[in-house]
Amino acid sequence: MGYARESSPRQDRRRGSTQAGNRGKGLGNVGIAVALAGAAALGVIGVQALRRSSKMRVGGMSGATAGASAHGPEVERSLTIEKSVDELYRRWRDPQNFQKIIGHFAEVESLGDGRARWSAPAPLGEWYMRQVEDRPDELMRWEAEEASAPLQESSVRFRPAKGKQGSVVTVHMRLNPPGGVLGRAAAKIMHNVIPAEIASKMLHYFKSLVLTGEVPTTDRQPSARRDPDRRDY
Amino acid sequence: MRALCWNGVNDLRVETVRDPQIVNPHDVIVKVRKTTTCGSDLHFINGYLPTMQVGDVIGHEFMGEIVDAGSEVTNVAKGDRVVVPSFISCGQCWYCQQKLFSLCDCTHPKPELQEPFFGYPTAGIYGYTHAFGGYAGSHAEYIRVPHADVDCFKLPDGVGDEQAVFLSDAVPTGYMGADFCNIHPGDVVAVWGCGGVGLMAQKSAFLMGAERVIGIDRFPERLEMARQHVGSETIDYTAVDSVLDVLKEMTEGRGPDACIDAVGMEAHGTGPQYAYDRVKQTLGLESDRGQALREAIMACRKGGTLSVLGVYGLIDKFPMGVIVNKGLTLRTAQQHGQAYLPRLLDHVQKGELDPSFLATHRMSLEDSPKGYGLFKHKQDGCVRVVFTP
Repeated sequence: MGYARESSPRQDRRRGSTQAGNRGKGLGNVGIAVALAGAAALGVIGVQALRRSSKMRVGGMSGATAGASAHGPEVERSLTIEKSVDELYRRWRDPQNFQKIIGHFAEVESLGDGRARWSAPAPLGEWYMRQVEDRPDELMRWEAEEASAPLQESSVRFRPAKGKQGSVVTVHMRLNPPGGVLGRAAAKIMHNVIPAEIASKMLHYFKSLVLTGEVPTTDRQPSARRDPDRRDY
Repeated sequence: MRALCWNGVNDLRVETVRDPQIVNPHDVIVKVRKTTTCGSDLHFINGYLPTMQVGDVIGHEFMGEIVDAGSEVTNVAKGDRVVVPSFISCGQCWYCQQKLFSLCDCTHPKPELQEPFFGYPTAGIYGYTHAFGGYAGSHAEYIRVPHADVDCFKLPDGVGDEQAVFLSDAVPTGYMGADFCNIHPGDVVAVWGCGGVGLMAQKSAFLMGAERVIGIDRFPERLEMARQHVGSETIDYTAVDSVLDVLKEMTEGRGPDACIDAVGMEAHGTGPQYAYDRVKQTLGLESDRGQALREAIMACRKGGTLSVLGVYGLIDKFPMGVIVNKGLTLRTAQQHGQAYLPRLLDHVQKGELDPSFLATHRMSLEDSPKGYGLFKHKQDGCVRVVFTP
């Protein structure tokens, strides 16, 4: 599995926090956002893409909007997955699964007691999250311990979808980009693109993982000139 | 291994790249036996589609032999000769269960790149930009195929490699386009474009019971193929004042029951509308030249079906009012090949369908840049070039 290597998970079963050992690749996301911004100047399609990204549509299939503003560093995304809420809740709690769906953004290591150390490449750095809510088959929520943490709060909610078509999974994230010149540049990107990207990618990877047992990847053969040991973009 | 790599606009080179490996448990590695050019490749070769990366291995229409299989592959095995549809589908999600395979929710490694364009990500494709997944393509000695149990179709002995290669994309795309037309006995179907997909759409329309099929193009050799190999009537649009008038005349003033656009964003045309599109596309104000599509909308009979197979970006001046007022049914999709492959293999085995005539040129993989040159400029009667790695 593309995202499973170097994994040495320890699970805090009581609070269901998430952890595992894997290299975070947050800068990769920043990189692609910049690349998209650059491409935008070149063509109509790119411009359109950037405009749409900056609007950061919220709610998706769930219809929920819970405080995610159009331009704030806060995002909510939903996806319908053809599985029951209890199964999805259980699969999300599995630290190996969680690392596979978040590995493109950060490395998450459990410290026990619902605490976890998150780390992502500079300028995002390292921070600590603590689980503050756990309602089985319904909701899990985490908060950062430091006011300066790039990810201030995150949650995942599960509810049955209409028409017996599985469940709606909703990810909510509130970000707080780091300071400094680099931080402000990162903040600009994070405000407009990154939170939505992270949430969407997590959800699609999670869906793929629970339905097929694997996460789609082009690892190890992303394009011909890449360093083979470097993860895709 | 050797592979054909994109190095920039109109810059393709055969290079030595890393061999693919099994990454996920449902993967197989296919040793490519035949792989062919597709008109949709020209969009990124010509620079109209963003998110290509230097070094990308291109190609998405292929067949070959399985040489390695992941731990959870059960339906196919090492040694099987298979054809693989261009879109990668998981077979498990709601879209795949509805047989909308090219809309699979689970095979796009970079959904965040495509979601801003389309609202929701589609399935991934081999060798066709990073916005479509960034998977390595088939113009190579080997290719990694995910979800092999769903996406690899074993080839019976009676189906040759050169027949099979077109079952990967040209045939299922054309067949689906005809399927969209809900053809009844006695129907007349007009098809814009006599390239690989257009010819297969014409053939499929006959297989589904159309009484008459009319192929529209400007290249004499392609029109000849439509007449000879498919049995279509043809219109050379450069030789007539108005395709619309000719179609009206051919259909007793009624218009074709269904019109299929098998041309897409780089349509050639004539007259002021074509000049307008060309200028806007050159200036980057519009990604498409849509004359074939507009003509199809006008020509279609009232209440008829418009089936769009051509690949488009963000076309402007789309005559939606004409579609509404004429009550046309608009059907479109990228090919749901996995839904059609069993039927198509059956047609080929029974001798009802032989797509191998599309292969006008055969070359080694080493000559593939030259092959794309011929293909792009439609030189030497080129319809499709088939590469053997």
